[in-house]
Amino acid sequence: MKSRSSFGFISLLIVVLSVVLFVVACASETGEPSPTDTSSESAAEATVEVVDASPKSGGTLTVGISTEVAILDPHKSPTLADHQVYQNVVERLVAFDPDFTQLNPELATDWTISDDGLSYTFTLREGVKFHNGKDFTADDVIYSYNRFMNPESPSPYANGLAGVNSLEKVDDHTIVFNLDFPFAAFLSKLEFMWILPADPEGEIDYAQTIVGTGPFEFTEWVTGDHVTLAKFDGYWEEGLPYLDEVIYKPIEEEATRLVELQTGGVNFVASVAFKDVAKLENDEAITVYRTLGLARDHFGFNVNVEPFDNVKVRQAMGYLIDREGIAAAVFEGYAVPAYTNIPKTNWGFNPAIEGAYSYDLEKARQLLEEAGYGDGFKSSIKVTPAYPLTIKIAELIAEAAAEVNVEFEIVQLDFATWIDDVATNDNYEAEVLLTLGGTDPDDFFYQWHHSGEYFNIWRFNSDELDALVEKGRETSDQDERQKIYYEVQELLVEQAPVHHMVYRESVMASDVIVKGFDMYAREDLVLKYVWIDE
Amino acid sequence: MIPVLVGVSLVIFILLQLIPGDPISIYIVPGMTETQIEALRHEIGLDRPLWVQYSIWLGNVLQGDFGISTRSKRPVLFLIGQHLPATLELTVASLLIASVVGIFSGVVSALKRYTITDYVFTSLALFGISMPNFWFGILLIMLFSLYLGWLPASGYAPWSDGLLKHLSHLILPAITLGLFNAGALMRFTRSSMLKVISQDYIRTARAKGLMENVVIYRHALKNGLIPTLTFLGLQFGFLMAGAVIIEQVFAWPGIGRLTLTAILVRDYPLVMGIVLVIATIFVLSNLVVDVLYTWLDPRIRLK
Repeated sequence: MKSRSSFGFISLLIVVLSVVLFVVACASETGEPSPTDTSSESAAEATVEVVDASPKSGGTLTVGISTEVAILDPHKSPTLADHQVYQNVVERLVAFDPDFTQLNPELATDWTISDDGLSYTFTLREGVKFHNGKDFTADDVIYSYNRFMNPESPSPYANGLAGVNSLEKVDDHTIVFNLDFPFAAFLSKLEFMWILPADPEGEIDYAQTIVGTGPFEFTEWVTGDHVTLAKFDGYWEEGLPYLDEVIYKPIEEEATRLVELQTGGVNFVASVAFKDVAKLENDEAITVYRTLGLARDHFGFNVNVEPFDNVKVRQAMGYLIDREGIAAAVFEGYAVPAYTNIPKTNWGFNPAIEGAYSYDLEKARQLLEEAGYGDGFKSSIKVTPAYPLTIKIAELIAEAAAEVNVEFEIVQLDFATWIDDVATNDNYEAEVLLTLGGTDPDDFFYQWHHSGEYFNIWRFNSDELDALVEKGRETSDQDERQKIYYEVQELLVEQAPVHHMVYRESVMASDVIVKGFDMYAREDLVLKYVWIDE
Repeated sequence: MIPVLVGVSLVIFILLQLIPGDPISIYIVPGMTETQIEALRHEIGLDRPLWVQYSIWLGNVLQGDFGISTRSKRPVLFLIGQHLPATLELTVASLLIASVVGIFSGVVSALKRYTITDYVFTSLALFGISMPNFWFGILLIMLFSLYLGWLPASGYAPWSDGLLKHLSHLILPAITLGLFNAGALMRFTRSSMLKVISQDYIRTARAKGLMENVVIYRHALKNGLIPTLTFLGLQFGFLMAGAVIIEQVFAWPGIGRLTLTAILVRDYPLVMGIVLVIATIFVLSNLVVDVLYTWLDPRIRLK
């Protein structure tokens, strides 16, 4: 019948069309990217081109960020995306270099520490102006400190300065911080105390704007759409910044962000998915920036709950982790095996613990037998889709565990619920997540493992460790501190409340015309030296 | 209408309390102590009894104060005001495209029932209804932005940037969002037109010697559109709640994204404010549909 064959023909046409569209979509994907060299030396180098041309002034940098800006107030925001914006508007006394190994002067040009470690005297930079025309003096440091520590509404990082007992203004450009006890990591904690202009009447509303001393000043924030910064002509460093304008656009969808980079809708993206890195590296119109980042994925246990209260069981779990396999399968090769929380680039990192665990199912079986779990056991791993790659890691671990009769159920919770269960209520058995940030060795051990700390989510309780990390805070000699932290790492490897698995790389990308960008391990977005070659 | 809205807000408030997940979570930063966390909890007002929290909120709302977003510390109404126009534009544009394409193809299909045209349109309608719009959106971006370079991939351009620029950003998300509704509308219109055409009064109109065009558009379509109108009214309210996925794919600064983030970070004042505003829009759009019925069908009258 005419109608039936027409129907058949039309259906066939539609099917063919769909297949064609499908093929077109997939054709944009290149083949499996080969894991590129991830040795720490090459990965830690920032990919900065040696340019013969000298920097040109002018131009607009449009940055695609992966989440929306939430809070502009530098004393209130805990989020990276916000940090990537306001760090170009406000500054602090001292700042880290891209590897986070060295503290450099920013608004303080010099500092001395008293012999007893209780007083830090800072010489403040002269000739610095705020965006509202005010001159920078010690009064602004005192104002910022008080606002930062305000007990009714403290900064999320206020605890870092809890040991500060008072500030003394010596003169307009000299200020002393007096501590209650010698705190070796004090300077690194000062990094979060952003300097704002003294504003006793509270006229500046930081929910709507930011005023600082940075190379760019705040222009506008249209929620959900963009934040614009403009060049600050009165910036203290001569000739900087080069850019006229910076526009931040939140583009959550990775595929869309990439297309915007490739079509020129943005000329910088602050976050690149690992599966897209090889494609971008092959694109001549794009510069890729990579560095070994400050994110460490871990597999942790609630040590108060069976069977993880048994150290042999926890150690056995360490032999289920195929670090190289995970780096290749989950991170496309853009990750490096880790055995501890502290990054390799940090002076406190103990090289002796490398390879402490390996992927060895026999060893795992043996340890489980010794612990009395020869027949295996059932448990659950709590994860959150807020960090989708950690779910894949958990799945790989569960697969390996099945070989030794350990059955892990993978439970996905949204982030807020995950925090409730794991961090607040100890309502979990095992978890996979990552730890971020940190600069001084103290940051990687004290709050995570000292008994009674909120972030000791594994509820690890060891007098020996407590004594070590407490001593580490108070000792000022770096060699002595290094010995202490080496011991801490060895203890943690042996007691295994948590297994750190990989250090992730951080990847950003830009149009080739963008120059002068240094990749920071913590994904800081420092735009002061960036210029556009057009 | 007011009791409905108060009821809705109460239900949402209770639901928010029942779901697990502490609003404090996103503010917690490694290094914070328990005392600091408690101080934060107090600052946000979470340590007060539930009924107190709700009453304070309701009291403020009745005076026009929707409170402050816990996450960004900006006024809730201000945030909603910044996002709602973009969603309104997208909703109207996508419904316009969907209506023109859907109704036209539905009418033609009904008139040319069982011909090739009918089969093509029906298949395309099925395609529209079944295609995941997330994927279709990305396809459109790859085709029109990456390969052809004709249109920008994402984002929003204000009217002040020029009409053409503004439309170039609007068109892809509007087509993607309109895809499902175009298909659904085509099917609705086709089946309702088929019913109407077989009615006696249509035969009468033809017998009277009226031109076919007049018969269809003045007599048949008006009645055939009634179910379509219901559908459009409901869809308007639904779309105004924000097309979260499309907004995500196209980085469209609409209310969907705002709502999703607010829920994920348990930003209670913002969620409550958005729900109230959207519920109001929903109720109002249904009211408008009811009024339009009386114009389309004289048999229906408002009491």
